[in-house]
Amino acid sequence: MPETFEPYVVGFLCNWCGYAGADLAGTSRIQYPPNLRAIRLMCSGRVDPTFILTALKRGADGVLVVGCHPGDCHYINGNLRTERRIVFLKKMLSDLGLDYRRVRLEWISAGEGEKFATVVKEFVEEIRELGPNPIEGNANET
Amino acid sequence: MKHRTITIDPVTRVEGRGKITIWLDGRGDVKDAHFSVFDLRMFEKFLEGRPVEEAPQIVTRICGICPVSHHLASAKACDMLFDVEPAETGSLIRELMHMGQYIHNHSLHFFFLAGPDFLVKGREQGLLALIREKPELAEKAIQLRKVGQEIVEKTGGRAIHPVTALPGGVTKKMSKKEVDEIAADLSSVEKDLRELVNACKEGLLDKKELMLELDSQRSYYSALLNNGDFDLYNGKIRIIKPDGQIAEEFNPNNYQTQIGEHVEPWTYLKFPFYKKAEWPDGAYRVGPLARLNVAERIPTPEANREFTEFKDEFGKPVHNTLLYNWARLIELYYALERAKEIVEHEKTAANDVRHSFKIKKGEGIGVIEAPRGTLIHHYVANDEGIIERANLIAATTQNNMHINQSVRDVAKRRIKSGRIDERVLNDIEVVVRAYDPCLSCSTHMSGQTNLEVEILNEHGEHLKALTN
Amino acid sequence: MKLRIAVEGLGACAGCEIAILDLHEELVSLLQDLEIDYAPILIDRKSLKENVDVLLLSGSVRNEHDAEEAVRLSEKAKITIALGSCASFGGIPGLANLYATRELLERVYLTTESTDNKEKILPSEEVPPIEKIIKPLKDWVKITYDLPGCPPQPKLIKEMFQMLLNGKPVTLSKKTVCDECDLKREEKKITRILRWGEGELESGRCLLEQGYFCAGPATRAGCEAKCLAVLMPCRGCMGPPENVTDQGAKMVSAIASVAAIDEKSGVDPEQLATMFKDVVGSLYRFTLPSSIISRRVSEGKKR
Repeated sequence: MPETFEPYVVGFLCNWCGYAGADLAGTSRIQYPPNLRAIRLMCSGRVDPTFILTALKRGADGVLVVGCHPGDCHYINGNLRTERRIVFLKKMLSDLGLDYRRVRLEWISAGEGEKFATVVKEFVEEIRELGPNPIEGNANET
Repeated sequence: MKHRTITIDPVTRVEGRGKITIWLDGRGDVKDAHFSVFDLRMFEKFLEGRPVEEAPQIVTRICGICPVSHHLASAKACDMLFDVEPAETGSLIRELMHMGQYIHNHSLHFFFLAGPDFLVKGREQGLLALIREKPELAEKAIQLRKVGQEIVEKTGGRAIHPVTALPGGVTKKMSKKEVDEIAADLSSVEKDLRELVNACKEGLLDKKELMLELDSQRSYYSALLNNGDFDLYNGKIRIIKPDGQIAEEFNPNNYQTQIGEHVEPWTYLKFPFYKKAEWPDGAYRVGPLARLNVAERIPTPEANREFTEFKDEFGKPVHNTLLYNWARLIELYYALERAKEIVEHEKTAANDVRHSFKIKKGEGIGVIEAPRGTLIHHYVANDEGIIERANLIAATTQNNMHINQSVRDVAKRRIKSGRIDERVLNDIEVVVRAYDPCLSCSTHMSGQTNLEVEILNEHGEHLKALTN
Repeated sequence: MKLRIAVEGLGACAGCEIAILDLHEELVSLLQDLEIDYAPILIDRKSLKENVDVLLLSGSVRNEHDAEEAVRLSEKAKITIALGSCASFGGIPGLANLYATRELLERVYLTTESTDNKEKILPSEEVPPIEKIIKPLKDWVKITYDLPGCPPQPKLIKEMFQMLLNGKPVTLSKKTVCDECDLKREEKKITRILRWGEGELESGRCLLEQGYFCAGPATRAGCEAKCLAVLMPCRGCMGPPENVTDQGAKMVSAIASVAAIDEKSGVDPEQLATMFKDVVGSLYRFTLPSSIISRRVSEGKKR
């Protein structure tokens, strides 16, 4: 009987919007899958591409980055920087053979608890479809 | 007597890592011998996916001694692929870079690598012995090579792994000052060049018997030729037969119809050969000796004078392998003279360094005479200008068959009834060095150039045995 | 007391060894203080018998023989220096990590245009097996110092020898190539990414600003920005700056920071990204093996 694969997803959530939105989902008792490991940062702009790459290298099946809507960033344009980084990073990951859908960027405000839960649900299912992260144990097959 | 194998590992004072193995039969005579190389990097495959205009800088890393050759052959392939004619000044700068490389490369080969076998007593110490025994000569040789590298740096941006060539020309114009500096450098070493070349010739003539007797291969020869003129930069490929008759002359763009590459199961290095003569007879030699055999004349006066004397003295064509070393000296004259012509040309410091290009799909072939022989780069790109296929034939690969043959012949002549001494093993290395093999280039593509090798270390102990 | 050294290249191009010779007459004076115990490119010693103070190892481990050689040599050295970018990071040959070994060999022996191999022979007798991926030298042997560069410029090599002769650690610049570059930076803001050679190529002005990809912001200084001096954008051969392990990630941040972030009319970042061809080959040209992901993987394998 094949084991069902439980995705392990890492979430980098910004303090002012993303994480607050996650909190709201919690206090409102809105269910969302436990597959997400949340990490709080002050701004989505703090997400160095290295964090995403390291998470993937260490076995995360997906990485979710959540920031404020454009125009609402507490630090003016940190979220825009991260948007651009992630666009290039996805291209790089594709070139390296990874499905770029394993990295996802979302804008979720502090008041959007419902949206947070929905996004996590959808993302976890998408990753379940994609399957486990191919990085470990895949050293360039002959 | 038991079967026995002898190894020379590594082959020293050559570029790259190589090993020679000799198998002896029961009587102690040579049964077979092989020359193998261990470098392997497979550029042709990982060039796929790279933008065409980046190729000239990636392929330089095939070789740290002749990166200019790869840079320029690649640039020419890119010119053709993108349908852009290189600008006149750009071409002059490129060719000047090429001449700078020749000055560096041939000095390196003779004074630092092979020359010590002919110039000094303590040849195992190579350059160090040259510095110790003939310090003035060493100093002049170092200065000569320095001039070559500085020319490459001024034209190419860096002495090792230049960067200025791109489709359509080069990136930057040269200032009058830079051109004048090069002219002054060339003048300053002219006198020394003559002295150095004469010292080398003396050294070679001191071992005249060795030079003429050690090894001779009646092979085909192949080189670029420009209407009968010796040319290191442009031309058609001419192949001549061992007797000197012309076998073929063709546009290098058609190389695939004329040249095939044979594969053996016991080695990673392929064996290029002239198709019409079939394998193995069609295996040809390239490089300085081949170039002088193929050429009818050299278009610069000093080099031409030397060339004529060389041919008169040693034959038409010249087959003795060690005379590669002499031929190389003649090319040094040409490189200096041609470099001078270019710095004196009115358009070398001009502005028209490149023509712009449009990204398009295409196929391009770039050919040049690298110091060790003809070099071919061939790319096919899609309509985003991304390389889909790349093929390279390096100089030393084309000498593969004959390097093996030379090793075999020298071994057979020098090892009889199991008698082997230090000198003999050294003679074998001397013949290999004459080809100035660039083992990194030759194995850019495949796995090692391995020719089964057996090892017996310098203490005579078997490390590995291969029974045949 | 002379410093005893050994010099060897593994699966290399010899450029780093020639870079040492490019000290020219300065090498001759340096030789007074050096004793070369093993350097196959220069002298005829066939093996390294005694211990040396410094091993200068260039190139990368491409096959098993390279791996054995690296171990054999570094065991006899007090200090092992990874000379050049192949040794320090994997180098350009590291781009082979984007392909499977089978793909690499088949291209060479079966499908190249001039190959005449009807029996479809893939040589496999008596040859040391190829390593599946290239890893930086430090994954094979203990490396004391890196001296990056492709090749390291003679100035760096000279400084390295001086530090070694004075018993000092070999240190590198903490700055980036931008610091050594003379091109004028006005407003670091890019609205387009051009293919190298497309467009005007103005001299005197920052190439990244003009829209040409340049790895300068994510590359360690020490090379005197020689490429930029001839208007060639940096391709990152000196490797990542101090305290950065993944050069590509650093470069992604750098591009993102200047990617027209305040334009109201807005350049769509997605569009900017499509202009950028060969992301991996540009961002990791010299450092793919030492990057976090380090190679191409394939999706679709279920655990």
